[in-house]
Amino acid sequence: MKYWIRRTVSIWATVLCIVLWQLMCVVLSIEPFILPSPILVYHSLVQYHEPIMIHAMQTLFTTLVGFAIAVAFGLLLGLAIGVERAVYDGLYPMMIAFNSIPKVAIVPLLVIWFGIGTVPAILTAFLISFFPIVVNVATGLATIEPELQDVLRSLGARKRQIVMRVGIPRSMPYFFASLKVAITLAFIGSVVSESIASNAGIGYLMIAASARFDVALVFAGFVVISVMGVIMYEVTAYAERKFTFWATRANDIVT
Amino acid sequence: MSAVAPAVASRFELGMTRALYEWWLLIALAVVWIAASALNLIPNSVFPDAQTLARATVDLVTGKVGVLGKLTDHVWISFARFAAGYSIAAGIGILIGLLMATSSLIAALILPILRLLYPIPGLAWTPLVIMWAGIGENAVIVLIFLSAVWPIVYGAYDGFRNIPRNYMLVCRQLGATWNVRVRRVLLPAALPMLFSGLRLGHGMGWRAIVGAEMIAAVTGVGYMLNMGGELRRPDVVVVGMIVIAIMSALLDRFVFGTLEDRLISRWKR
Amino acid sequence: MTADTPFIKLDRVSLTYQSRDSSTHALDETDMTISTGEFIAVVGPSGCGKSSLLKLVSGLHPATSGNVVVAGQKVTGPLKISGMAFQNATLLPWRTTLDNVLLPLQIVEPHASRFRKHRDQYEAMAMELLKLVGLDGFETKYPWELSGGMQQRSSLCRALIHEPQMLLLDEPFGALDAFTREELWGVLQKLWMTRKPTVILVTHDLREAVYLSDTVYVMSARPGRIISKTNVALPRPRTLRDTFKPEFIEMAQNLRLQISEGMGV
Ligand SMILES: Nc1ncnc2c1ncn2[C@@H]1O[C@H](COP(=O)(O)OP(=O)(O)O)[C@@H](O)[C@H]1O
Ligand SMILES: [Mg+2]
Repeated sequence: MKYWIRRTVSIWATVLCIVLWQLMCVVLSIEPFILPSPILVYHSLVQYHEPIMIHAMQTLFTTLVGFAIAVAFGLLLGLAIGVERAVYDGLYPMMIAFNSIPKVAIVPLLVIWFGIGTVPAILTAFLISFFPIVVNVATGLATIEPELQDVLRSLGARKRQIVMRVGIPRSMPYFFASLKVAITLAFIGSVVSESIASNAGIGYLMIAASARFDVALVFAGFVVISVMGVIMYEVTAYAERKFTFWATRANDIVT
Repeated sequence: MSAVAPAVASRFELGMTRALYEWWLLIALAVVWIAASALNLIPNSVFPDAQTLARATVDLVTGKVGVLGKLTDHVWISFARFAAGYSIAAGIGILIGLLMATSSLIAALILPILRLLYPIPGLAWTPLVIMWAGIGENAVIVLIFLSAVWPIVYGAYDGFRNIPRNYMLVCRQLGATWNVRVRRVLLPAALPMLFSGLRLGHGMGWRAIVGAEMIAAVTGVGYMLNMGGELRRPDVVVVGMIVIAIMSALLDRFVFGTLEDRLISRWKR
Repeated sequence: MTADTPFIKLDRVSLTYQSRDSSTHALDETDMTISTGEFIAVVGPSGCGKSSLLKLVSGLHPATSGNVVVAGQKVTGPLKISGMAFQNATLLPWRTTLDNVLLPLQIVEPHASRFRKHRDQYEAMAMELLKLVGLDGFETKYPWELSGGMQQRSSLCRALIHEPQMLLLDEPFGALDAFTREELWGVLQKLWMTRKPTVILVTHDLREAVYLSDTVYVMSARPGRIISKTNVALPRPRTLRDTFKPEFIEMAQNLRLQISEGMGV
């Protein structure tokens, strides 16, 4: 219930902004090449819907592939770091350092290796998005209560059993929470990589449009990016509520 | 406890062991890379070997790679752009946050816009900014601003808003002047939140600058990196990546880290 | 095993926690003899090593010196014949009450390998226990749908499901309100009288110690050692009414004085 109220508030805010924008364009008679009105943007969306669709699909593809690799890799590394103290000690400082470096810096090298296009976009999406997954999964594993570990160990449970029965389920809420961040980052990575080095994808489309000074099409791309970003976020948020209902419910009760 | 020298030596050793332990992967890779370079096993068109990288570094620093210009110039330009974009973002961000915290009307007006704009990654503005500001200085600075400003606004808003009412009541009762109130109460109380916003904005702004320079500039480390890619010069790209890594570490740890430690710890007491 | 061989025997047991830059002497030359099926309580000031004692007996932590013997064998690692419960119930929030109680059976042998095939049988065992503690009807609820007292009841069931010979309880009712706590005394007494495990109960509540146990041990402040041993010869089953009898009150007061002396007051 609360959720839907929150959702509609942001929708109304968006609608209001669009109306104000249209009014501003008309009242101040702003030139379309400085700021196109929402109606012009809409016309551009309709006129170019076919190429937009193709480029959007390309971006969706690179984002999802990069995201999938990040999920697999992040989950494994997070588990390793959370379970084995030695792995944590040996990798964590380097990962923190790695995280503070802008990942786009690697795009030119990827381009030299793989040529411009799909592969650099996928790899950028992967590199930019795995970190939060690793951190969250490892954090989740670290939250096993010591008493519970005592209960299980006194029964003769091996480490693997504790991880399987308790550690992994316990870290799932953290994992799903990180997916929301990771999918957004993967999407950003894809779009940025496409803007720098590609001939396909929404990022490329927008850069090409800006080179032709087609302001309306740039805005159309902007709209598509926003919509795609919101949808991907909401899908992962839905997965989170669906699979780890007990975590949110447990918090509801406790607090 | 009588001999001092061994204790010092062992602490140094401890530090070295620790560094080795924390950075083993990097060190191992470096060792493998140097060994492979010595044996001429690395094709320079894929990844530079040690000799090539050293030569490229020297060439870039002395400006011998014609079109690419001097590395040091690029570094300063990038730092300067970052400083400009980030200062503007910090100034305007804190101001907006403060205004929002003091007036609920302003907050109500700005919050929806903020919610709409915050999730948009700074670099997504690039095509627009290029059209508005053209390629060059202004575009990059605007992009840094757009990347860094939102978390700063949020941080300032949260910080100033969450100052306990009692603090201000006590102040007024004691008849504290405006100056004292701001310096002794308002700022210290808001600082932790404000700072985390500033730090977050700093990270986002810094991540944006490299991408922004790749697309919307003809100078700066990002530009140099991108040109290295277009010229198919892995050595140039790797030098650029290392420089960016060092710049990130400098900014993040030394400038911001110490600032935060100093200010926060001083006020927290 | 004959009746007069002790089930748990601590022989001059000491424990020192060693960390990089400090060491804590937690237990000092502790002797204890607990017979099979006995219910003992350990009381003492905070930080005196009561929880450490349980870790030694369960085999979770090795003694620094001395011998811990349980069921005729020297303890060198986890025994798998103990059940444990703590102040916080530590139930898994993604499992229902029934599945939480079943958890030990999925880990301890020989049940773990038989679990899938004989699940019905095990579920019946769990249901029986839940009924004994008054939780029938709540087996499909999640922990966050239960009150603190009910969570602690489930935790007790989890500790007993694999029919351990030894039950180790570390302030199990410490976080509950007074009424719920006293209610659970009755529940625990009933569980013990039906199953007859050997119980070590660590508690801060002297009335709880007297109500539940056959013997109360008092420990001194750190480094902990046993400074007195009191037999509670009150008939069972004990009721709340008994707690108002003069001999009960006198025993609790005596324990209180001994603890003060042990703290050097
Ligand atoms: N794992 C540990 N490492 C180091 N010191 C510990 C550890 N566990 C307990 N201690 C210390 O040992 C002493 C006894 O602890 P504990 O047995 O938990 O006391 P109690 O349960 O009686 O309050 C305390 O001073 C505590 O700080
Ligand atoms: Mg304790």
